[in-house]
Amino acid sequence: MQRAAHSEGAALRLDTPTPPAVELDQVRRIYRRDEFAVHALDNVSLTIPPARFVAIMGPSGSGKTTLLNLIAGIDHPSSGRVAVGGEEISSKKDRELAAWRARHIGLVFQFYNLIPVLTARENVDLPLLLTTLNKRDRRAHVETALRAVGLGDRMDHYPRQLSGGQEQRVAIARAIVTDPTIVVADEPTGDLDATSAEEILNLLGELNRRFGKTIVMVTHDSRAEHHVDEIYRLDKGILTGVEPGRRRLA
Amino acid sequence: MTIPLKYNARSLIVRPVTTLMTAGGIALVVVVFVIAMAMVAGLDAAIEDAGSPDNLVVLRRGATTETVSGFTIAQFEALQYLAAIRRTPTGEPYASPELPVQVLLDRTDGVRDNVILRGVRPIALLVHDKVHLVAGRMFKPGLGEVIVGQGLLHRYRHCALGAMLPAGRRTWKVVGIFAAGGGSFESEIWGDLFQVLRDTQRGDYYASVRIKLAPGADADALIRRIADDPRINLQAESEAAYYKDQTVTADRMRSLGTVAALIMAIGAVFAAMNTMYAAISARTTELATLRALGFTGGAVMLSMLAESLLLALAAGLLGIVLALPINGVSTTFANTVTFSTMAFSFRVTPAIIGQGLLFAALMGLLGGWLPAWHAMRMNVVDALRSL
Ligand SMILES: Nc1ncnc2c1ncn2[C@@H]1O[C@H](COP(=O)(O)OP(=O)(O)OP(=O)(O)O)[C@@H](O)[C@H]1O
Ligand SMILES: [Mg+2]
Repeated sequence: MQRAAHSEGAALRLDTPTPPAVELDQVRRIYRRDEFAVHALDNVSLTIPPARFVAIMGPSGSGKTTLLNLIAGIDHPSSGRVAVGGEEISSKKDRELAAWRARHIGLVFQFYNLIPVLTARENVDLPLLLTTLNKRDRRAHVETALRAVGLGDRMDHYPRQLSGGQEQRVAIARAIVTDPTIVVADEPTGDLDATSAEEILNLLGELNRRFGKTIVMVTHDSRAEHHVDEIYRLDKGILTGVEPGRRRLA
Repeated sequence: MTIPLKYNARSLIVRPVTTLMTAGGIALVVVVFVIAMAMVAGLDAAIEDAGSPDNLVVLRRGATTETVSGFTIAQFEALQYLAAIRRTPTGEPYASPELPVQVLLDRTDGVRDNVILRGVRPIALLVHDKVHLVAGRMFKPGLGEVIVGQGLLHRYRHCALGAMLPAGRRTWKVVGIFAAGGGSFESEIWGDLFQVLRDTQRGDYYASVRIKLAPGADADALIRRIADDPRINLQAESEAAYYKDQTVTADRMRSLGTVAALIMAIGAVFAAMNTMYAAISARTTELATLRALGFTGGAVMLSMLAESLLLALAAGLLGIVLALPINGVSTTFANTVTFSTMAFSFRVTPAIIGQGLLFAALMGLLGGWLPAWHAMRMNVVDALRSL
């Protein structure tokens, strides 16, 4: 059903004025180090429609992580405007941003960033602690999320008792458990072997298809081209092009 | 929302070595604190136990202790038949003239020590109602007999029942052992007033009189009478007030113990601070991840403070458990005012346990404050990159 919405494109968007998942308007991010100023992002404007699975690709140092951090509301642009789900976040204060992230953003990292002293279940429960859900509802959400990533039988394992691929699944469960507006993933397959990487890409694709989650993924992995709808190419902080992924061909 | 406490508890457990070392430092401070306070509480209790509510201590005007007091037998004679003083059925007043002197005694460990030999009349046993014989009998006046406080028994030689005890200018025969409810009299020897007086070779004088009020008598009126009557002209106060003045020493012990614990606490606070800094820098990515998930800087700071507090409280409990065996242990305390020793038992009261835990908590909060503040102020973007 979500796929149908996409293929019918513009017409449907006119009927239902769903705001774009991500909108960047002339965004700059300049890091100042002593006398040097690094233009990590230079005048980037882009629009990602909702319910898409997109990849951001580019050489090392091209500003991919910087872009992702801006979309996730972890970092502030030096200038320009960032809006997620129609809500402008570039003007929010840190405290508001933290609450906003908890509600709207699911985060997936290259090295999973699980809390080693907490079990899979407890790790996935963390973002729910920032909601008003009671204990029983949280438990139900956590179990649904862990089953959705295929870890129904590993819920009480600690991260060190899991493989890299499984750890990343826990991290993905943690990212989707609050039903966020978008999931941002920074090189989610960067630390995995080929088989696990493929599984993670399949899982993200499935989450996007089944639940209509917008997923923005930074990757170096050329296999990813087969899984995504669009590829945004960055070079030296400049958006050099957007090309369709090869997902629809499959 | 707050980060769950189990996160902190488990984080402490996964680094057992640093956790135990820091906890050890804090526990040690608590041990010192608890022992010092238990000693003060024991001293306080011993001093308090010594007094009876309806007893007065009569001294020379201006004297604060028996050691610097002295008055004539005529003054005592004028005093003892005052109407407000209780009488025995045979009409003998509850007025106990006393003369404590210092004598050197051999301790069981070979050292010689000052002990009080108190010259009293047999009426003393009635006036001092907390004093009672636990073995043998009361001494008979004029026969060179003494009774010995049970606090001296195992600490000094020749104190056992039936022993010949060299003290002062003569050798006494021990005919009785007495208890005084843990009070300071338990560390004294009591003998015949007139024999003690003769041995001092300083003429006829008494150092103090203990009197017991007649039922319903007005203590204040009696005190005024004793001061104003020109034949008496002495100073009286209740035993409670008299012993309270003596607790100056216990107060000094209290401040000494607190100061010692505070100095050690400074070290423990820095150790805790160091541990928390190390813990936080080792967990930079973890904490940054929590921030990225939406936990606020304040929540992270609170979590780190809680971790430090948890560590300190566990350490405090450990310290109390380690110090607890001191409870009830009895020992003697050399009173530098009266140059005598006093037996007392360490008392670990619930209040002291509470204070010990509070002290530990304070160390934890102080040590955790700066590291937690830095954790709150960290730059999330940079911290997430520092993998
Ligand atoms: N905190 C910072 N201070 C200074 N320069 C920074 C900082 N963070 C990033 N940069 C610089 O900004 C540029 C973009 O960095 P970014 O991490 O976004 O690149 P990236 O595309 O994610 O690279 P990679 O593929 O290696 O992860 C780089 O030149 C980097 O050195
Ligand atoms: Mg990067």
